[in-house]
Amino acid sequence: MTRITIRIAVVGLVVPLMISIAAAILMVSWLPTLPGVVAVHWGGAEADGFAPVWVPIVLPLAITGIFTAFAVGSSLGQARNGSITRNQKLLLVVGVWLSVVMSATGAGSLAIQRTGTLAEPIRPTEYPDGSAIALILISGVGVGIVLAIIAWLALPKADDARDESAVMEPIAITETERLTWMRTARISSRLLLGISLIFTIAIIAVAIAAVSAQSGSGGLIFAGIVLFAAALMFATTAAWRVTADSRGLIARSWMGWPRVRVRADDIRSVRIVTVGAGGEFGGYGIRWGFGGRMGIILKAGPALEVTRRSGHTVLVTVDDAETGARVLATYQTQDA
Amino acid sequence: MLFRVDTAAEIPLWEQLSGSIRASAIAGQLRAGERLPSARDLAASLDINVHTVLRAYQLMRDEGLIELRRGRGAIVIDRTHDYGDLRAAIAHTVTEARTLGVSATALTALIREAYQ
Repeated sequence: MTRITIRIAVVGLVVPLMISIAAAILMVSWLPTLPGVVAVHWGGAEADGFAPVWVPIVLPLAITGIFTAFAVGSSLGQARNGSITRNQKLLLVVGVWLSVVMSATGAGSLAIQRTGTLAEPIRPTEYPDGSAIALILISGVGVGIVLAIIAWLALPKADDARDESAVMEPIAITETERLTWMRTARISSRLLLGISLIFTIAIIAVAIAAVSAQSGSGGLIFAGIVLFAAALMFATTAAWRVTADSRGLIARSWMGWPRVRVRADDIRSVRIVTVGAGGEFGGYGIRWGFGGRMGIILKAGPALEVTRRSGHTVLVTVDDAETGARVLATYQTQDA
Repeated sequence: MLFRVDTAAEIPLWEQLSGSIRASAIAGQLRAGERLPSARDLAASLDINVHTVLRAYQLMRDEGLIELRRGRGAIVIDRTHDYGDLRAAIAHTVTEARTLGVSATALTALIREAYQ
C-alpha cells in the first residue's frame, strides 16, 4: 500500500462505511421502540410506502458498501502507479455523499417513528407526515455535499494527463493507393452474460412487483420503463464496427445507431492509450469524461484515441488499435 | 483488419482485395467466426464499386476461406487449411531472395510465372 492508495481507501471506503455502520448501530439500538413495519416512502404529506423495519437499517449499508467497493476498486489499479483521475475522484466523493444521504434518510425516517413497539404496531393514521422526512432529506443532502467537498480536498490531486505514446507512424502509400482498417469491438461474452442476467432479473422483479402491488404501481411502471430503456441502451452499445479510412474515424453500433464520427480533416492527433478496467470512465458503454472526452469503453486494455481540432477526444477500446491509428495518421498527414 | 488497394495498379481491384484478405488469413490475423465488413461498407470506405468487393468475396468463398450468408454477411470459416508451412516457406523465400539480391518485384514476377 502506497500513501496514495491508503488515502483512497480511507476516504472512499473507510469513511463512508463508518458513517453507514454508525447509523446502522444507532437504528438497531432503537429497535425496541420501533414498530415491525415502518413507513419508508411518503407521497406528499402522507406515508404511502411501508417495509419491514430491517429495510431502512440494512439497505443504506448495502448500497453504500457496493458503491464504495466499486469506486475504490476502479481507482486502485491506476493509483498504484501514483495517480488518480478527476472521474475517479468524483466517484469516490459520491460514495461519501451517498453514505450520508442514505444513512440520514434511513435513521431520520426511523427516528420520527419511534412511537410504537414491536408488540403494538403503529396504526397507519399515526405514521408521521412527510414534512419531517423532507427536512431530514434536505439536511442529509446538504451535509453530504459538505462532506463530499472535504473528501475531494482530502484526496490526492487529480492527474488526467496520461503517458503520451510515440507519434503514430503513417503507413507509406502512393497517391493512387487506398487504405481501410475495419474491426469489430465488443464487450467480452462473460460481461455480456453477466449484465444481461442482471437486467433480466431486474425486469422480472419489477414485473412481479407491478403485478402483485395492489395500488400505486405507477412508480413501478416508471421503473420498468427506465429499466427497459437502460437495457436497450446497453444492447445497442455492446458491439461496434470501427472503421479508419480516408474519411476519418467512424464507430458505428451494430444496430447502426449510435454512431460516432471524426472526419479526417478534424483530427489533430492520434495515439494509443491504455484504459483500466472500469477505470477512468467508470464503466462500460458510451462514456463521457471531463474536458470533452468521450469514450466507447468495451474492455480494459489498449485503445485508439483521436484528438479533434477542438481539443475534444474520442476513444475506442479495440483490438489492433495500432494499425487503426496508423491508418488515421496516414490520412491526417495527407490532409494537414 | 487492413485492406489496401491501388487504383493505378495493373492487377484488378477485386484481385488486390482478395489478396489483402488472403494475406490476413495466411498471416493468422483472421480468426474463424470473424465477420468481414459488409460489401457495401467496404466499398464505401475504399471508394470503389460494391460489385468489386462482392467479386472478391465470391473468390474467397470459392477458395473456402469465407462463407457468404444472406443477411449475415461474409464470415471467416473454421480453418480447413493450416497456413503455418506456407508462412514459413514465404519467410524462407524472402530471406533467400534478399541474400541473392532479388527485388520484391522480381520475386513476385517469379512466383507469378511459376503459377502459370
